[in-house]
Amino acid sequence: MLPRSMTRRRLLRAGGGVALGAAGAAILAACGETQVVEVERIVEKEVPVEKIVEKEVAVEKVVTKEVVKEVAVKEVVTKEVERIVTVTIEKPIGKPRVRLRGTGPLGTAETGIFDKLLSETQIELDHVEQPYAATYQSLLINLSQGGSAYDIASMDDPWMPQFTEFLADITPLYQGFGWVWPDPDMIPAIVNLGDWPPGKYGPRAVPNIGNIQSFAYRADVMEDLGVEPPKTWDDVAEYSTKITGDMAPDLYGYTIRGQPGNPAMTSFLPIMRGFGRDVIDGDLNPQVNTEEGLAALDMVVTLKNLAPPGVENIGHHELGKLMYTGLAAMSGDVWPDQLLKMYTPDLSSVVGKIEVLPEPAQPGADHANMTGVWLFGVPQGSENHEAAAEAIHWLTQAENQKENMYANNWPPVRFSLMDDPGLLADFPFLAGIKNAASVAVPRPRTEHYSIVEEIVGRHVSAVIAEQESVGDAARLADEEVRVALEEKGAYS
Amino acid sequence: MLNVLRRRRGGDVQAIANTPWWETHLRFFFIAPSMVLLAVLAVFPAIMSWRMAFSRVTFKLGELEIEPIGFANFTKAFSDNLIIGSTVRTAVWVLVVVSAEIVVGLFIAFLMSKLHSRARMFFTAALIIPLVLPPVSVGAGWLVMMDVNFGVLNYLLSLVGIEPLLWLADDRTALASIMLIDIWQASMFVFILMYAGILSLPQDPYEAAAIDGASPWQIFRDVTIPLLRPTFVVVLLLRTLDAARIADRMLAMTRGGPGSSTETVTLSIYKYAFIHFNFGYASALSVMFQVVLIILATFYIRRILRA
Repeated sequence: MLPRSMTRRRLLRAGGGVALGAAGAAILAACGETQVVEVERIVEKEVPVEKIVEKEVAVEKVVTKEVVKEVAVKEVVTKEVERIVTVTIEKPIGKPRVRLRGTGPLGTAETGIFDKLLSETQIELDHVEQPYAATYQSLLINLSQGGSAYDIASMDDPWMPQFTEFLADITPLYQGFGWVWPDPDMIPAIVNLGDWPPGKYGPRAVPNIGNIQSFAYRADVMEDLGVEPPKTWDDVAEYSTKITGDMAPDLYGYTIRGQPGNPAMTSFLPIMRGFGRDVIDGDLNPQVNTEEGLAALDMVVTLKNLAPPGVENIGHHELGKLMYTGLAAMSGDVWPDQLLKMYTPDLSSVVGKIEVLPEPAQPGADHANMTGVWLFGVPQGSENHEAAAEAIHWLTQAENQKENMYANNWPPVRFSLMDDPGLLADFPFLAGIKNAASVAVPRPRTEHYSIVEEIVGRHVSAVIAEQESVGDAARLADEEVRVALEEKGAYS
Repeated sequence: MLNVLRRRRGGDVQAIANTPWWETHLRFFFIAPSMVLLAVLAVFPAIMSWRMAFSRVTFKLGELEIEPIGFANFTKAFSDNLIIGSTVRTAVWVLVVVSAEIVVGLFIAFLMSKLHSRARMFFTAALIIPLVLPPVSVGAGWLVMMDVNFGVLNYLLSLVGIEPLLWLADDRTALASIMLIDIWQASMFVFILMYAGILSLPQDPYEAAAIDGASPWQIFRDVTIPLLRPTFVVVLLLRTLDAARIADRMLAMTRGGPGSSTETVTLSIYKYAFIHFNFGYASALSVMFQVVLIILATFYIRRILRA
């Protein structure tokens, strides 16, 4: 009841006080997290009686609550004495929940993988989903500046030479939990991608997605032609000429990505390597304007002229579509996600007709499939190194990698899964990917690879679009790469 | 506050002398938060950008190493073929799309002004739809429609017996194809401004022209266009600045290709900054681009003030 002398101002003051009190209580309540604690052991130690209960209570009533940091108190009520006895529990209470933030491919929330991670490890993982280029840019800025925005970084393997110095060493983190690293079940060639320069910083990343570029071809078409699957790029050109000549516009021999930068470069690299040379050598000298480089560019022009119209501006998804709609018979730039579509009856008109091989190579050159492995790392700036390592360890376990294969078509990096009969039955192309993995090599290992890729990829695109001649493109690509790398101090 | 008001009106001087200093400067306290925000979000990055333009910038763990190198980044731009090509392409882009958008926007606005009010409402709502779509989504949608093998545009052409076009896959047609998309979307912005301008024109000159026996074309050319001059200048200013900054559409549709046939200045700056991580050079390019746009904007704003 309000006093008679209550004025409007006093009423407002009183109301404000009550509201402040309520808000304060709510904030305090929100800060204190309610937690159910399992009492594991009761120490048989007498403690002073704190309070006498003056009323009857049920015998079975047992209340457990947290009173001080990591120490639980158990209140036991006994019928006879009706006293509350406080017993100190020595065992720390349950593991506190940790919240982490990660970016890059970590998993798919819809599959429940993050919920499972939370329930099993008390680690809550916020997934910041971004497109490929944005992931790279935000990671480079955050990692290099020692930022704590991310606790887990999922990185494409060509980024590793740029990132390793900004990542925490995995070995001591794993050893802290008693885990073995490197994991003997993981393919060593893939594990080594996280160690750059080899031995300088130690392993800085744990592989999770064993993406391997492969050469895919239509087995039925080869059978109709009466030929063996192609082994050299000359074979590919020869068969493509026959296929396009006989069957276009219903079927073309080969397809390639023509968009500048990463797409054109990714299609070009296995061809160039198949001619026995990489785009840069071990000392970072550009190699496109060499005999092998020019021959590889000539091969690109040949194959482009045997491809479906419009390849000058296609990227990853469009190339996959040309394959699974049955418009192209071969490509050396096929990745596991595209293979899955080729094996999906609702999408594909070539189910069961596609086979996978190592990339073709000219006589004397090595087959060189490209890795596109994604690896987890812990940024040095993260404030949760241990929890991040624990989450990475959990996410890369065989069971979770298997789930990712079913949910996202992310090939595993474990021997045990590559030979898993169940997986092989469900994903017949996995055997081909395993063969491709055996000859897979990463993109040139330098922190400046993105620059090389942008420049060479732009000139390869210009060749595909017939904007530049093969000779001009090779010369300009090498000149520009050299100037850009000189500016970066790569040769000093 | 009363004292301050009096001073403004040239009143009681004594009263003002007694006003505490904080009260006379109260207005500065009110605008201080927005000034601080502006300084942090706009002025500081601009100063950093100018500083980087004269430097070589290297990323180290936890720090940026900024080493002064004078005008080297600026002089480099004049011998960079990619930038020279991008600049020419951007100039052509601005000239073509802004001109076309003004013609299309004005034409639609003129037609709309002749429609019945209900029809106007319906068409205005329909015409605004492209305007509210994000450029990247528009780019992705048109990319699918312009697909050489599976796109609906080539399918429609095939129905009338026309051979499929390469649209974005031919370096001779790629830029023009993206221009078409930009004109389709941004003309609606021009239409809105022009339409508002037409509706606000005085009626007297039209009545006088009608009495003098002017034809509809003469009225349009000699009455409507001159009266719309201030609107034209505003449209030119806004569209020129916006068109010059184009990059998102190219990034979504062609990545600047085939080759570099659709690469614009801002796309090149983006690549130098975020692929080459050459922040010094990218900043120098940004500064030069900024200066050109400021000169253009100043020219237009003077025209607006004069009009």
